[in-house]
Amino acid sequence: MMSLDFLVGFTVFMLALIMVVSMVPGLLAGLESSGIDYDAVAYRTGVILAEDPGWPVYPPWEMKTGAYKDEIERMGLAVSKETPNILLSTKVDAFFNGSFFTEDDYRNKAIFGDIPYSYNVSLRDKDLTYNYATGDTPPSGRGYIRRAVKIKEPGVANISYNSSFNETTLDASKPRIFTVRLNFSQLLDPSVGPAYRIDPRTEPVNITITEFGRYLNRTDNPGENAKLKDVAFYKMDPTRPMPRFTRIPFSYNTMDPDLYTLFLDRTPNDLVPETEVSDNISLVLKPAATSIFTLDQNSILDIRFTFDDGVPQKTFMNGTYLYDYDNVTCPPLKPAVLEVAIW
Amino acid sequence: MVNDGGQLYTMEGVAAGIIMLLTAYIVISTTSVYTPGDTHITDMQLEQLGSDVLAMMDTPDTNGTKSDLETFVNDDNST
Repeated sequence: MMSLDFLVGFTVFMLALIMVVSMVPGLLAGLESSGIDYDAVAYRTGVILAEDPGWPVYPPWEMKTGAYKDEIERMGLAVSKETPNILLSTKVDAFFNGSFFTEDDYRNKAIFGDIPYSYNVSLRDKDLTYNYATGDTPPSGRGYIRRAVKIKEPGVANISYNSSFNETTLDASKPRIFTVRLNFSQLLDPSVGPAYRIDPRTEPVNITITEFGRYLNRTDNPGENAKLKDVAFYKMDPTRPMPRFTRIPFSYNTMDPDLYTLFLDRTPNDLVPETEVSDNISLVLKPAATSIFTLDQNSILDIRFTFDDGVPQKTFMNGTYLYDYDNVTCPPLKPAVLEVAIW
Repeated sequence: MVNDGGQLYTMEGVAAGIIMLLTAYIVISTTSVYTPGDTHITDMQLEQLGSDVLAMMDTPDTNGTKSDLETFVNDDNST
């Protein structure tokens, strides 16, 4: 016959045992679900930035100006869908522009989190040419992803002294016209991969003329420099029945660093400088300007530098320089590291 | 019939219950259990980084040249 005391004692023991056993499953769920979430969101943001060119792709999102910022759906840094982990330098510069994008823009167009996460996105390369970071300083308990990437930078046309452009036999009264020709059907040839392609619609066109002093007419005008009268843009559509070059309307006498920069002997100028040049000319035409020119993939764009000093002319620089893959130096892809932290 | 002969049983039960609860509390509050699921995330981060580095080593830096990986494999040295 069981005593009542034994039963009471046994009941107390069983109750305690049941409580312990019900606590044991809680030991296996040792992770906080919000902790996993940070890593997942960081990984997704890393994929969007490193492997996605963004949306809209063409016309590219990095060229949207202030009023059209809402048309950007997604900010991605890749050159194209076919080239993951290869980033375009113009997209990188646009993405890290803290004065154009607010924190909400980054959250809505790159992170896509259900709650407003804090973030830190950074891109660094070995010699710190690229040393961008945006967002707050990450604490120790954060979700994190690191991607190895390469950055594609725009090509530069370095035109030093070349005797084929030094036409000493030209008529002394005619103005000298030096043309840089961009044949889009050649540049956008699909046989060149997107990671190595020169695309003036999305990357700046950089023309640097050095050693200009060697083109000067030292015999007739010793010690005098030639005057660059203007820089003009002409386009031609070779697919039309009678193709010819037409001058592109542009605000040539307004200096707008978002559209172009022109440096004559390291002094900035507009495109109708009428100034003497002695050593070098540097023109960078930004993709925002090329998009105004309404060119398509068959167009030919001419950039004509006209030197006119009256009679006698002070320079012999004349001719056409082809801006193509043989002449333009494309810098090698730069390895870099992209890190995304979310907390 | 009702006496204090079984008080020891009750006290034993209560003591056993208290010991179980105390042990479970001490175990949970002092250690963090490292479950196998934890390593998935760090493994994934490393796997992604390794895959990226391999892909970048296999990308030529200029058009038409050999990638670093091709050079290493072909020439068997590190230049």
